[in-house]
Amino acid sequence: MPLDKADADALRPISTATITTILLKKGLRNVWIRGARPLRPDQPRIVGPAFTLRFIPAREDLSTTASWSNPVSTRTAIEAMPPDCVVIADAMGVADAGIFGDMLCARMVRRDVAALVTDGVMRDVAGVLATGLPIWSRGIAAPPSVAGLTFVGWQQPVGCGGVAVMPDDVIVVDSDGAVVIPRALLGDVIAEGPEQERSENWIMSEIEKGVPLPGLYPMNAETRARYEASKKAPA
Amino acid sequence: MPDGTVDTETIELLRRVSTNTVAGLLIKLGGMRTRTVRNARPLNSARARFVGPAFTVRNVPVREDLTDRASMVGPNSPLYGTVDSVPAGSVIVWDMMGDTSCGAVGDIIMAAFAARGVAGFVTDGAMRDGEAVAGGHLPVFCNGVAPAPSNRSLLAAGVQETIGCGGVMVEPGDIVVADPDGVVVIPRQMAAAVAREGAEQEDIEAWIKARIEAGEPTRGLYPPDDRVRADYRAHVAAVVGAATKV
Repeated sequence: MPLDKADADALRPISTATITTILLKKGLRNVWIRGARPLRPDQPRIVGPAFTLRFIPAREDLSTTASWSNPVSTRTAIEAMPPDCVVIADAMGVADAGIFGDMLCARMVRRDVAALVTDGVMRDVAGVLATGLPIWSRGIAAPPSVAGLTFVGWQQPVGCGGVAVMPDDVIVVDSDGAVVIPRALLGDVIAEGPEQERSENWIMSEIEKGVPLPGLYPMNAETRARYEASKKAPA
Repeated sequence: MPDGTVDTETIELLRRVSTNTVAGLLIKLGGMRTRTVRNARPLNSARARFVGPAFTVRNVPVREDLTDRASMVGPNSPLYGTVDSVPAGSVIVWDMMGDTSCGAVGDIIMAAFAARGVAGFVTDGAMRDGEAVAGGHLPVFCNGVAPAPSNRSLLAAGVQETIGCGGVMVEPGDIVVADPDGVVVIPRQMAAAVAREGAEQEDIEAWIKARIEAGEPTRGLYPPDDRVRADYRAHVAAVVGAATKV
């Protein structure tokens, strides 16, 4: 299920830090994917629907380089990826078998995949960086995926970095990492996110003016009145 | 059940093969070094032996907006109906991603599984109602006990899928062998060969052990060289011959 352009545009200015706070207020305490760090420090914030991949432990006779030609393989999964999706690869946190290298990343770029997020690791890092695909992962390893993992399917419910991800959940990923927004809560995030960003920007400007934190962050009644007045004042 | 269901004769033969023998044969016959479930210990070492085809359950981390799917007795869970439909003789393999903050199931569900004739239960996480489950009829291998229900941390994501459990890939219908040493999973297409060779290995090792206990040196005897194997075959032929005469 694609993400509406209007929703994507509304979501893009909202940080993952803000989103986790909003979702916490809705009762969701576990939406941040552990272990997924940006491969490049300057990767922009990216939003898109999740496209899930599931890996499980290797079995010596099945997890071979020949398996890359199977009907169920990472290669066939890539051909099923819609444009602008964010790939969420459940690699069980395995850190010694790289799930993708430069060839597959290059193909994902050609298919207009927006980003790749995994609790596992990548390989061929120089080539992967050259493809320009934005990636969040646990790190790098030389051995191939089949050294420790078997790919078993796509668009299934998965656990990635300790978080449940359903196909087509909305993913936002930035320098703090990746968060999962259930589709049913997307409207709340879009409604509340901009106001939270705005109030926090105002609080930051007050801190820079030398205002002490108690009563400011979080705002007490008096501070809130000043903030509301500032919103009405001409800029 | 997927294709390649393993025959009853193979299951029966495997009942007298230890997990040690199975683990060794999986390396010897298939180069398979990843078939022992890690962090699965018997809850009751007096009730820790079973053999049967795997019936798999997969969990992912829980999410608060999906709790309607988290209770296995609710119609939105992939597990709904499993308790009353799991085939007799199955070994339930329950992937908890190693999570020990909650228990897979408790004594009542385990009693229901036992009543259906389930042979065993294996998880890489914890169980609830540890004392009652340990005293029940169904042998369990797990990584401890925990009071909290499964939906504290987990959400059932699928039944009878290919899963990972304790670092082992498990396909539905693979043959699970458990004894007090642990749990080993045989790919189902290897089960007949492992059973045949395993049963022979248990027999020759029993004969070798008796000779070692009688004071013979181990060299050539264990592991058995060709001469010792010939001696063993002669011994078997003599025993069978004697039995036939009677």
